[in-house]
Order: sequence, then structure tokens, then C-alpha cells
Amino acid sequence: MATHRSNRPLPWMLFGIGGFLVAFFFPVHIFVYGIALPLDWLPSPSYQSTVALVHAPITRIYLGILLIMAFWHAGYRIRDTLCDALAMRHVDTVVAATCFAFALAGTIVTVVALCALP
Amino acid sequence: MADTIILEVARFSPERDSEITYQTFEVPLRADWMLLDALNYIKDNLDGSLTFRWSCRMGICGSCGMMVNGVPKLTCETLISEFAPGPVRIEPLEHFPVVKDLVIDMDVFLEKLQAVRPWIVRKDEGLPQREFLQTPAQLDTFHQYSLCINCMLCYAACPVFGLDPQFVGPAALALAERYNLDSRDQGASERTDVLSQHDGIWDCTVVGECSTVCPKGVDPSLAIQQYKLTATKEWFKTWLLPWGNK
Amino acid sequence: MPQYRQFQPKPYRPEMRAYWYFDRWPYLKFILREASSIFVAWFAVVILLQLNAVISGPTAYANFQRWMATPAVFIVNVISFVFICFHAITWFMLVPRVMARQVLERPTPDLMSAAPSFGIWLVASVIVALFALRVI
Repeated sequence: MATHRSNRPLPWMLFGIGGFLVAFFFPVHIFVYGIALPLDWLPSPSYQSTVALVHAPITRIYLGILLIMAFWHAGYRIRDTLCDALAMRHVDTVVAATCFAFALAGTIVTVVALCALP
Repeated sequence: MADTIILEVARFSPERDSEITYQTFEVPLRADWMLLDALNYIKDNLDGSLTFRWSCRMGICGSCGMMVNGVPKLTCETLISEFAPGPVRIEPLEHFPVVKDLVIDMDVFLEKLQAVRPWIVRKDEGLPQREFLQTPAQLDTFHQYSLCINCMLCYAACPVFGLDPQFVGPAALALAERYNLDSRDQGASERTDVLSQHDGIWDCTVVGECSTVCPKGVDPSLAIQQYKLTATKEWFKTWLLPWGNK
Repeated sequence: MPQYRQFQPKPYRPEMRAYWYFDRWPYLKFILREASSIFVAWFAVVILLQLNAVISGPTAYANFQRWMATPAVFIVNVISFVFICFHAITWFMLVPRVMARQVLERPTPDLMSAAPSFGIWLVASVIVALFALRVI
């Protein structure tokens, strides 16, 4: 048995924090923006008020942390799912690299987008 | 209730067969019989060559683990009337090499068990001069994990172990945590290498079936996740405080 | 290898089936829970698209809202909602009890560890909804 200490703790911690944030906040985001507003169940806020909301620093920080943690959570879990469910363990390194590249890309795009907001 | 029930038992003879075959037996369906009683009935009256492990008949030795209709169970603790009208399929424990009929090769598990050093490790020299004192609260931290009878049902239930036989596995990891949490033990650092490798706790994806099938309520899944938190703290200490004691 | 094993015929080594998780419901539940991560990734991208639409101006944002109302996207979002709620419920039943056990150092009833998380979930959802709908 190889006894090299794994470096999983760091991505695992991000996975854990991301798991909590996704669990607490994603459902309401999907419900409001993905279900209730398209179905006109709730009054749609105007573009100006949405811009004002997103302009506030607290919103940017909230969205930044939520999105970045969500990407790392998804990357870690998708890698494990592909290995377990689709028998891709033998190409684990490639799968891991792809998943974490996706998470990194998501992080960069999020930071860029939040800095570019009006 | 009918008088009899059909058992479909896996047979494998290493000299004759290259694959598992199934043989059906009709056994009495008695209200107070466990599956183990039915297997012993088969061996005594129907086919003496049926080979299986058992010992205490009371769920404490951990010998009689088998797959019952696809679920790992201790046959001495499983009422046969639960499965009426049957048939009941009995197979050797999953994910282990089969030696003969319902007997599996335990070496894989025993190696992993030994690797985690499941005994009290003391750093002091010589024999202890007096008994170790331990409060009930200190006992509470690890008592649940000490109930393990090494029956390996958790390994049969764990798909990660099935996919990766190098995985240290639920029971071994739970027992390592049992000793890490024991206030009398000073050997946590000796177990870290085995636990923190990729085939240690990090292979576990929290399926949770190990805890569901455990006949003694050990909850190895909880022990593993607990150790993930400890291991993460250790990992950060290694990277952020490299001058700390190794 | 022990001496007596040298001439023993090889034991039977069963192979794990590729689609092992269809065998039993607990395994399928596990895979579905893990698969929720795909929908997490999807909706994270959707939120980024939403931010991009906000940056690009009112027409772009209106187009984004129209896109969210198209049947295909709507259905995927409904499925995502179901999966992510499943993730949340299974997460709250599993994770807090590990932390509770580490902190309290004794076995804790599952419901006691899970209840605070559900409470926080409710409060967080209400607060975010109020902000998103510009009530606050």
C-alpha cells in the first residue's frame, strides 16, 4: 500500500464549504429566477433595481463566495461521480485535471464578472 | 405459514468449478429458526459438503456474514421466517475472493486491520505501574466504535471497496479512529500515514451503506468523516507550520 | 504466502458490475445525490450568464429573462431545483452530525444535529428572496 499522504484535504474543505453554501442558497436562487419569475408567480423587479442590488459591495462579495465555492464543490463531486458511476477510475488523473480546470475557469470568470459590474 | 422454504445457496468448488453455481434446498420453515439453523440443517441432512463459517450463534464472533438476497447480513441473527414464502438466495460476502461455497478469503481485510495498528500505543517505556484512569465522558468519545466484531459486512456493502480493493475500508478506519480517540492511546501519529493516504479515508465518498448494514451499530461512516476533519486540520498544520513537531 | 496455500486452486474473484448502482435503491440514491453536482455546475453557469446580462444592459437582461422562460431551459431548471433540494436535504442529515460528534464527543441524535441547518436554510432563503425581489 502506498503511504503517500493525500493532498485531498484542501479541495475537500472547499467541497464542504461549497456544499453548505449551495445547500443554503442555491434552492432559493433557482426557485426565484428559474421557476417563479419565468412563470410570473412573483412580481419581476425592474432592470434598474437589479443593477442597484448587484452594485452593492455586499452582493458582490456574497455572489463571489457563493459561486466560487459552488464551482469547487461541483468539480470535486463530479470527479468522484465520474470515477464511481462511469467506471473512470483508471483515468482518474485526467478526470481530476478536467474537473479542477473547470472549477478554476469558473472562479476566474466569476471574479472578472463581479469586477466588471457597473 | 407453509411448512418449508426454498434456499438458493451459492456453490463453488475450487477443484471443479470456474464460476459460482446455485443449488436449491428445501428446508423446514420454523418460526424460531435463523438462516444459520437452516444452513446447518442442510449440512446435517441434505448435503454435507456445504461449507460455511459460523461459531457463536449469537452475533458477537462475526464469522457468519453472508449475502442474503443481495444484502449482507449475519445469518445467526436473521430470522428465516422474514423471507417467507421465499425463495432466499444465500451467497458469499461480496467483494471478497471466494475460497469455497460460502467461505471467503479474509486476508485482504486482516492486512488492512493490522496496518492501522488497532491497539493501545504508549510512548512511555516499560509496563504501566497502575491501571489507566478514564472517565465515562472519555469513554463516550470512542465507545461506539469499539463495538466492531470484524464481521466485514461493511466491506461487502461498500461499493468503493468493490471498485478499489486497495481501499482501507470502513471497519479498519473505524477501529483506527476508535484508538485515536481513546484517551489512553498515544499512537495517533503512527496511524496518520495509513489513514491519510489516498486509499485511506479519502477514498470514501460517504455512501453510508456500511453504517446501515452494521449489526452492532458502529457507524463507520461517521468515524471516517470525523477523521477527515482531523486529517484536514493536520494537513493545514503541516503546510502552515512546517517547523512543528512531526 | 503460507505453506499450505502453495498448491491450492485459485479462489473465485467476482468482478464488480459496471452499473452496480442499479442493484439496490440505497446505491441509486447515492449516485443521484452525487449527480446533483452536475446541476450545481449548470446553475452556477446560469448565474454567471445572469451577471453577464446585467453588465450588458437592459436588452441583454430582457433576453436573458426570455431565455430562462423557454421550455427547455425551464425544465432543466426545475430538474436542477429538485436535485439541489435533494442535495440540501441529504447534506443536512449527514454533515452536521459529524461536526456535532466532533464537538460534543458523544453520539448525538440525528434530528437534533439536522434541525438547526434546516432552520438556517429557511431563514437564508427568505432573506435572499426578499433581496432578489427588491422588497428590501
